[in-house]
Amino acid sequence: MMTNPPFPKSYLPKTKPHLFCPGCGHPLVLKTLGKLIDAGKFQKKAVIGFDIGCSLLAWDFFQVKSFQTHHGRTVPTMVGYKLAKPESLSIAYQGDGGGYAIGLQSLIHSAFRNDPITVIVVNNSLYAMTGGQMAPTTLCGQITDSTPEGRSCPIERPFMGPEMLRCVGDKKAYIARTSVDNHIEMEKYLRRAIENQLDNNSFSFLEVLSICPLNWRTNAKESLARLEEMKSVFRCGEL
Amino acid sequence: MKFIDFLLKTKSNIKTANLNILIAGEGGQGAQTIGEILARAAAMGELRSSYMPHFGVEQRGGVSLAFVRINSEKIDYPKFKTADIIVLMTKRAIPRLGQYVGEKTKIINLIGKDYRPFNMVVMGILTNAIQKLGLNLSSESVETAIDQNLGKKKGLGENLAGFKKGLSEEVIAFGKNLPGFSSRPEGKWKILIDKFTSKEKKKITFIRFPELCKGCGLCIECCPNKALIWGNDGKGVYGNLMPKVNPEKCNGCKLCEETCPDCAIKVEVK
Repeated sequence: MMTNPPFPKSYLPKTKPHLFCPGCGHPLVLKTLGKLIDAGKFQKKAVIGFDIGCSLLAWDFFQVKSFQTHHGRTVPTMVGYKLAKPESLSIAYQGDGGGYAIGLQSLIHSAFRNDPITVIVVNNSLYAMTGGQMAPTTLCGQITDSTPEGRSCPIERPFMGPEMLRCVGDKKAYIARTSVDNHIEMEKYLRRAIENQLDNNSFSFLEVLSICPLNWRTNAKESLARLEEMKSVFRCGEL
Repeated sequence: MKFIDFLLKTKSNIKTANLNILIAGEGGQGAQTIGEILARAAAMGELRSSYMPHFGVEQRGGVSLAFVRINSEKIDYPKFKTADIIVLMTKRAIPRLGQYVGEKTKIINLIGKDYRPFNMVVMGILTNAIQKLGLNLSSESVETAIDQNLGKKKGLGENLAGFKKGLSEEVIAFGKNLPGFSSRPEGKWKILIDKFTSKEKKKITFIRFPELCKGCGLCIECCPNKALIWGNDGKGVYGNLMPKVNPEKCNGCKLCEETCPDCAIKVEVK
């Protein structure tokens, strides 16, 4: 009897087990994306660009055209791809470092221009692949590799990506935030983001609050508790 | 080489020490720590040493190689073509090692050994092996290097105990050949099956895939009926424990299947 794991059809089985750490939030986002690609039959249409950082570990995750881009340049690369192939489903997949630090300029202007691409930023509040340093979204007081005594508290709040893009972006853009512990909401918002690109030829952005048990040094229970804490600062919902 | 050195070398009958050691592990096993401590300890006496890491970007898993050279002469380059000793700590490193195996390479195969703390016991085994090969590496200098490496971190006692255990461990017979490595044949996944009838009279087949489970524990946290607990009926991807279902509490809701980041659980309900 040959039993297969419950992979979405768009997964590439020979690269499983994947390279993400135990308990990482990335594969949860990717699983949702995979299910949506299956449901919409987008396997041939979709193309995914991955940024440098832990997101790059997904470059051979799917049986979907995927490639890696320069750090922080995932968004303009996917805009270029969409310009060349307007019928594609062009997705930029980044972490909070690639999206809000090194790639911020491109992200702002893409929302401003209402480029018809879908951007997913997976936010775990630190730079994971390089060892867990502070990122724009690190919470006030949070201990990271480069803030061993907690992030300085004169700052009023950490970086709020979707809120900023809502101010700057075109009103036709779809902007939302969700989290990996709410798979129903994550699937709903990601589906709407994809639809905004395909049906309305407009920009869509989804920030996904995620967990990083390795760099947070938390077990499953503590990781989920930390995620709840993040949700009280970064509000989930559609903007 | 200076003329005087050349003269001394030709007249000397002291055996020159020269050992190329390759420690092959994966992210999280502490292979680099072994390499660094070994190089520091070797250089405390009259020998010279070098240590060079080589690893990928994965934070866990992947391949992590540590190149250590110990020599009585000046070391020209931190890597080498052929290893004298290969310390093999994970299956995943095997495809990377072929190029370093020579006629006289000795392979210490530690795959599947369950020592704790793993890398310190391996440190002991490796030190013992190097000493048996006639090199002047003292156990005391290794212990000093372990202490220095830990610095202010706790656990010195536990680490030294592990090192001592490794020193006295029967030296794993030196192998000459790398063990075989084959990735899983297409489509055949190893499975662990539990079949039971739930309290609500549903027929449930609970399948786990040990080749996917990384032991993160998210399923245990997310089960609304607290029907999953840590089991000890098998090892996952990193030699970790895997969760196991309690048939009296499971109602086939499939939230564990949904939650698993590795798709390592499949629940069939009739």
